[in-house]
Order: sequence, then C-alpha cells, then structure tokens
Amino acid sequence: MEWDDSTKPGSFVSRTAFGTISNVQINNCGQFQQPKGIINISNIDATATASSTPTLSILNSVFMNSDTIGVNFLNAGNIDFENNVILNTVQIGMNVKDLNNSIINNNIIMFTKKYQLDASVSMTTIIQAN
Amino acid sequence: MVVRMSPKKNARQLGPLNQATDCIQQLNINGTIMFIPDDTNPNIVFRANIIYGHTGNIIIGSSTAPLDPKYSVTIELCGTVKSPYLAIDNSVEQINKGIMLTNNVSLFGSPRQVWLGRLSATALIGSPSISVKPCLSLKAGDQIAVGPGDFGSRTNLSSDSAIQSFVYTVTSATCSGGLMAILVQNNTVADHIVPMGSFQSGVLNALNANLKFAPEVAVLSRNIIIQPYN
Repeated sequence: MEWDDSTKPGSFVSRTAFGTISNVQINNCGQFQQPKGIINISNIDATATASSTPTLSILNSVFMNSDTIGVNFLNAGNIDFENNVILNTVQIGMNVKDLNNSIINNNIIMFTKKYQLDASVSMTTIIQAN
Repeated sequence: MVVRMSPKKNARQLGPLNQATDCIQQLNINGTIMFIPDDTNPNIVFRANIIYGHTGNIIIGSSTAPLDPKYSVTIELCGTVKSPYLAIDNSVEQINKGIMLTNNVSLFGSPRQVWLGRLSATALIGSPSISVKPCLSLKAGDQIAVGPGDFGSRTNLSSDSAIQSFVYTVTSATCSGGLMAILVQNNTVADHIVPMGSFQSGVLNALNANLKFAPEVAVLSRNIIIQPYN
C-alpha cells in the first residue's frame, strides 16, 4: 500500500493523503527485494504543521509477513502511528526517514531479520515506547 | 459518485472482471467506495489487481461505528506477478499489484481493546496452552503471535531481533483473575520462557538463570483484512 501526495509535473492537482486506518490487518505484502514495505507513507506534506494538514492515523493495526521492510515512512509528516503490530519482515521492521510532526508510539515489532527500527526524524516527531 | 459495496451491488457493477477469479483489473476511485456487509452477506471479499485512490475515498465503518465484529471485509490483491512493485515520485505513479492511495482512507475495523500482553507462565514446547497477562480481546479462531518485541535500533541492534516469533491459532480463551488461559490449535513449537519470579514486579531479573526474554503476546486478527489473492 502506498500513500503519497506528490504533485505531478504539468498538473495543478495537489493531492493530500489523510484519514484513519484502525484495526486493519495487512498480510503478505511488500515489494520483493526493494525498499517498499507492507505499507509505505511518503511525500506527505513534511513541512506543514499539524493544524494546516489533515493527519493520517494508523492505529491498532497489524502488518505481517513481508519479503522486505515492514512499515516505511519517507519524507512524510503529520502521521499518528500507534498501537500497531509489525511481525515477520525480511528487512527492517520500521524504517523512518524524514518524518516531521508525527507520533510513533507503543507499537510492537516482532521477528525482523534486520533491525527492528531505523530512524532519522525531526525534533517534532516523537518516537517512544515501541 | 458513491458506490456502496453491499450484497446487492457487487464488484461486477464496477467494471469488467476476470471470470475465473472475480478480480477487477484496475479500480480507479474518484468518488467514494464503501464496503457495507450485512447479515445476509456478513463477509465481503473484494478482489482487484490494482486500486488507485486518486481523488476518491475508501470507507469501511467509521470512528463512531466501526465494522461490527460479526462482519468482515477482505480486500484481496490479484495478479500473477511474483515480484510486485510500486513506483511513485513526481512523475511516476505506477503499480502492478497493490493499493495506491492519494486522498482519503477511512477504515475502522472492530476494536481489540487489549491487543498486547505477556506470557505469565512458561509455555514449553509441545504444550497446547498459554497463560497470558492481562486478558486479551480474543475469540476462537483468532491468531496470536508469541515472541520478543524488544526494541532494537540501527545503532543498538537488538540481540534478540532475529529470534523467531511464532503464530498460533486460538481454540479457546478464558479470562479469570486477570489471567487468560489460551488453548492453541497446534501445540507450541518452541519453549517460550518467562523470567519467573520477576515478571510480577515488571522488572526483568538478569540474574535469573532461565532468563532469555519475557515473550509478548500480540493479537493479530482483525475483521478488515488486506492481503494477496492466492
């Protein structure tokens, strides 16, 4: 699965990904041998403040069995990722790069064959108690 | 346009299907698609090779009325590709199997209030029973994972990050006195060891000769499922 709000060249359509995923189970997904996880969240208004951009909330969900990364955040912002299970990934359980104005809290990452977490985030992103 | 995926409006009304698999090749959403099971058809299975959210909305349940636990919605991704890919940047939006969302998604499965606990007693290999604290939001047929979920980062590689976690299917679950007794369909396939005597205080006792880890138990089952078809 992929979330993205890139604006295509030549187009004046600006798209914003937002909403809530709550208590959803996603099995056996991921881009084999590529850095695309079960779920990929990218290019979501990384510079905006939470008050100006709708939030994408992923809560109480399960991401299991990936041939690659579990959950991927790349150049994203205003994400609320809490109380999720990431299970059985060939690569990193959760890859967090350039994440802004976000909360990653109280998730559990089980049985990853590489690191459970690889993160570089802004000071406004809170990663705790995972 | 709002398309309500109910028993009276099935996937055939959205576009041509592969008759063998009931799969839509590509679903483009610029309006709203809602999945609404009912007592006549409590388990909706929707199959598509590719789903593009575009400017549209995908809705299952709501924050105030999540999908009833007696219903389920399963979205299955079809296609024979063995190496699914996603390609997306400022000029490319391409996928050969998957879901690409660029607008609103609202998926609210039935809540599992208590989804995470720890073993409260050692579960030895071959045992059909597991004891967990606190009681989990479980029912027969659910899947649970038992294993270490300890934090390990790139700079602090967790020594146990490669330890296997095992998935079991629950036969029954009974809560009593804050402990949950769980029977699993297939007997446990590894020793799941609890640091006895230290778990009650919540402090791991590294001097305990039996200490390997305090396995966590996570509820895996939800009633909104996204997975490959076959």
